[in-house]
Amino acid sequence: MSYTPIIQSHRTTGGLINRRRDFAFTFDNRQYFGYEGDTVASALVANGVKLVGRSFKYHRPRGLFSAGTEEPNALLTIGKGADADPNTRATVQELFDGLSARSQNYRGTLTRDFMAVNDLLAPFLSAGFYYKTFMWPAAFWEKLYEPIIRAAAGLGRLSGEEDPSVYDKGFLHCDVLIIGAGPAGLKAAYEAGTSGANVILADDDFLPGGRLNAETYEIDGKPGALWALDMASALKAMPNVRLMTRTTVYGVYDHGIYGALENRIDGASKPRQILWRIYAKASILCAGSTERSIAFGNNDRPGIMLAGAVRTYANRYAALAGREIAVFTNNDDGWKTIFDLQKAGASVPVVIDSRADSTMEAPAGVRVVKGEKVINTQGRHCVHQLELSNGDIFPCDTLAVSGGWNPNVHLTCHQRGKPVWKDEIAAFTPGGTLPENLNVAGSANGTMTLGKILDEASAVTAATLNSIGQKSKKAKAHKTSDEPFGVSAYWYVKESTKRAWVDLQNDVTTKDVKQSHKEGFRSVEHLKRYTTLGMATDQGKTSNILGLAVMADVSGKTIPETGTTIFRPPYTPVPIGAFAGRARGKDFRPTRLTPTHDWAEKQGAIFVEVGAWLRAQWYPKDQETFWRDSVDREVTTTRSQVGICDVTTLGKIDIKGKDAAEFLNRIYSNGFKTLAVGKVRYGIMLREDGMVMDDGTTARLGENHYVMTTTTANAVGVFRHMEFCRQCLWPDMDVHLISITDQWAQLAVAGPKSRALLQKIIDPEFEISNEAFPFMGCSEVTVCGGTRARLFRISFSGELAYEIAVPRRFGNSLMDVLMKAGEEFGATTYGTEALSVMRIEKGHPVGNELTGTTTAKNIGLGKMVSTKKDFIGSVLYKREGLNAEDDLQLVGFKPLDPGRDLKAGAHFFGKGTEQNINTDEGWMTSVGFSPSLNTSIGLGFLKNGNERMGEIVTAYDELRGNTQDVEVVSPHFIDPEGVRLRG
Amino acid sequence: MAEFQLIPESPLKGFSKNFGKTTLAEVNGFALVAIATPLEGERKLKTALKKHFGCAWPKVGQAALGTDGAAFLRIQNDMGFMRLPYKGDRADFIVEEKIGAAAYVTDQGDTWSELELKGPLALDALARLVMLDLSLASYPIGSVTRTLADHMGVILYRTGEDTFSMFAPSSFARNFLHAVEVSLEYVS
Repeated sequence: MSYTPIIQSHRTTGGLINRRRDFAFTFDNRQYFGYEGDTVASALVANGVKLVGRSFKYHRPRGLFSAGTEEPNALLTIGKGADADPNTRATVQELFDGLSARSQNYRGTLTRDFMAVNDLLAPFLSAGFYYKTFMWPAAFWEKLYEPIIRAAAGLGRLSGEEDPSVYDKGFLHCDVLIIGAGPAGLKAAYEAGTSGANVILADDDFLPGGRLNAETYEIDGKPGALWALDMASALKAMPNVRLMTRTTVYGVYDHGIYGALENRIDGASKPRQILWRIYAKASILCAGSTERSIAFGNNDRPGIMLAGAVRTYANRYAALAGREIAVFTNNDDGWKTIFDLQKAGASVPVVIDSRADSTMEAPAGVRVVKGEKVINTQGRHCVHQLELSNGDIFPCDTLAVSGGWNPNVHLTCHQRGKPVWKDEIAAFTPGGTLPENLNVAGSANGTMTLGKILDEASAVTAATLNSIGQKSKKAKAHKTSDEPFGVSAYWYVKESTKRAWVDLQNDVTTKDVKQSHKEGFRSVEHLKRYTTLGMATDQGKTSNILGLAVMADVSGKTIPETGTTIFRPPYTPVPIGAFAGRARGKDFRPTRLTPTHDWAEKQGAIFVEVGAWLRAQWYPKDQETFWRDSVDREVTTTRSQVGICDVTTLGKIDIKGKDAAEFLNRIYSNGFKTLAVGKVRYGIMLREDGMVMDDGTTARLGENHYVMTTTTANAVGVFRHMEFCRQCLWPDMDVHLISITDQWAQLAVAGPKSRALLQKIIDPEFEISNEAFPFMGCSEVTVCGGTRARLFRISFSGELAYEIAVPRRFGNSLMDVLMKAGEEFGATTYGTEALSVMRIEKGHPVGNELTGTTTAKNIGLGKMVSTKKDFIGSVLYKREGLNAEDDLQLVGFKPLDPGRDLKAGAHFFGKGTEQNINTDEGWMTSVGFSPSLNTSIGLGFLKNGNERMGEIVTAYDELRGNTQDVEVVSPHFIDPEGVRLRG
Repeated sequence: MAEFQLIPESPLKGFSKNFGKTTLAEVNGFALVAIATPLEGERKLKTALKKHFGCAWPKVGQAALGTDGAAFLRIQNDMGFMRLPYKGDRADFIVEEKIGAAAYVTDQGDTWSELELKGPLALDALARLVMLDLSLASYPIGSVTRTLADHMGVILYRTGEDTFSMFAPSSFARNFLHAVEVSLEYVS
């Protein structure tokens, strides 16, 4: 790294910077110094740096062009390594100590860019060249042409590493959102704030004031910047006003919702950025206006800047853009530059006004040329000479250009507002239908002089408050230096024979716009797509109007007839990280933990995500190194001894009411009215379209009290469906639903020793023998000396089994107690993998089979669809297409070779049949290795499957190289008669 | 004495932490019981609530304080939650005994994990999680709402100017705690 002295060669006196706090920073590995209050751009200007980047396509040297969000050239990479943030506009990046900035888009060095050869090839690289040039052979486009073009053109690069910054989101509410803290915004916020409204004032700058900080205006005899400072202080002191600096309102959405991005000073801040959703009853757009340029030959050289930017650097940052600064303008505002620069100590050799009839006068020593234009410039890394249309040549090191000001109408268009042309300022102003309750004040509204801006801000604020039913206080009038603002539309210098840039960021010239028109791309939207005018990070803030003015000129239309492209959010770029907020990594989405999670974690359980839940998948023992070892052991032990599994995740819905039985009868396809108290019934429910929605058991705990279980995956969907039925379909029923999924820790205790185990913990007054408590029984009981519990004799595994539920607070302890009590029986815990193996062995359907496209008949439960009652889905279930004789039926499969594994997803074809979509006969839905049968087994849907037992079919799985012949078998692999579970 | 004892555990194991002058702590020792109105039974329930718990019948979105530390949080049209000091596992039995003839009662004490957020950072932290307008004018003390916080369904209950009780489903409790802690760290 090389060092330069602390001297900042172009720094003058004054400005709004804090000279007591100097910051060291680097630009392209060279160290510089700036002050608190600088942007990277102003610090570079203060250090005399002109060349800051290379252009997108031609790799032309480029310098700072503006001083704000509209900057097209000075896109830098801020930070290093994983922290690197490419395409950051130097003009808005606040300087901080230790900041590291790098220029972008060159090969070699910034001053010696090998890719600058593109500029020599410019005649061949005009708009749309690659659409025409790289047509043949077509296969080369993706592999050769596009990579080369992408490598040659472009902006900055991402680091490729994980972004270490943190981001957050938030929600804010206000009566009035004021967008922009320039003179109009400050005045509006003050009036609304003192009237008692809740106000949010947001501005992308770190210093409120807008152009007041950049110009030499006075308000009430006070410098404008000081007035802004006083206003900001007053606003900060108001408890009902939130002043948000460094915050860009980037989008307007429905119902008064706004998107805003708040930046912190440096990447190390936590969080680095906050994405705010702002709910506003009303809003006032005070976003100001953006200066535009004039297109003339070689108008893109470093040192050619917007006149307003040159003044900003001089007045706000005490940094001179050059020593010899010429001015080229078509309006009165550009003339201010002369006075400000002279006051700051720069020399202004000449002012060129395109208006022959301009009445403006320059101070002594400044050459005035009226009615002429700049037609060309010279200088490699910095402009050093101008050539005028009258042949005069002027040396200079900076050219300040002003083509007039465009109101920042962007946010008014986010809901399809259409700007309207205003001849007096030669610019578009807000028009058409504005977003609901959004008003506009200040130069964003086309009001271009300070006194009128403040008056308008007061009036608009009063009207806005009135529109939301709030009163406004009488606004104070201000005395201001109301400056002249005459402008004569002048867009591009036709006399220039050299390339004249319209869009600096995308290297679009007047020639490109003309070519677009010549080739038939005449709509502004087509112009944009064909030439890339107005794309990328600046979204054409300095180029759009200029581009369409050229288009209007060549097409013989007026600018309003030509129209604008549609402005869409975001106003300025929003990083993807900010949209993601904190939802990254393990915080990507919320996680639910089961009541026995801690116990499982202590056992070293392997967890799996099941929806939002984290469930134990299996519990490895010390000697087990392969997952199947653990799962096989868990299955075998459960089937031979006893196993315990946390099944809390199944949805549990408490149903109460006098009409609960009838309600369930209408929800389920099978009958529930006859279910006795103390009994459980398995049920399936259909959707209106007749497809199976979910299955599960419902227990009747009392006369008007039921507890339903749903599958884990459908718990929310089933509850929502039932609430819809309750509230909208049958509001006259006396029934209430409430989720008790989290209320009860529910454990399945399965296996031949399950009763013996439970008898050790269930209090002795409760009899659970087969006779007293048979299969499908349920009861409220107590355990471990009085703790309340619910016991259900139901079985998913096919074994003698129970599910026992205790209040969640006891869940972790219950697992511990059951395992201790079960030691004498060789009890094991089992996870979701063993659970799945055992249910496949029993042929029970789950989500793999209940896909939303299967019927009760498909899953072999057609008999559970009542023909004697009305229920949800009863009509459409009868559709002919759902009742074909040879429809898909759920059957079991075994591999012919017991050593091979089956794979879910394989498709079935008749043996020896050609495999295509017409001969497809179904697919494998679930597979697992059955330690009981010592083979892989599967469930699947097969056409007319029930009639094909014993048939050999081909399970086609070429994608995974696992095509094999399989035997069609019953889906009930274990204990098909159900003897065990009734034992 | 039974051979085995079940030991209760709260979802957040008594968590408590200060962030400057703001405190985030798990609240235990209270029961939560859902009280649903039978069809056309609102008047009867109002009377029973007043008689047995001293609670008025608040509007949806508001809480009413009763006697002996009871509070009725009316979270929806035909249902509310009774919050009362009680440590056992039979709160629904107790409530049912008193007002069972006028309401459908379901224990929700283990369903929800309660966190109290109290202090000057409370509003700023909640603004990172909850989309509601929590200004005092819009959300006065005694307001109660089912809402979303960082994609989790929660119940928010304002008990003081800068004090909120927040109920998250027990299975989400640790995730919700993490979300609030992160918010407090970001606004500290």
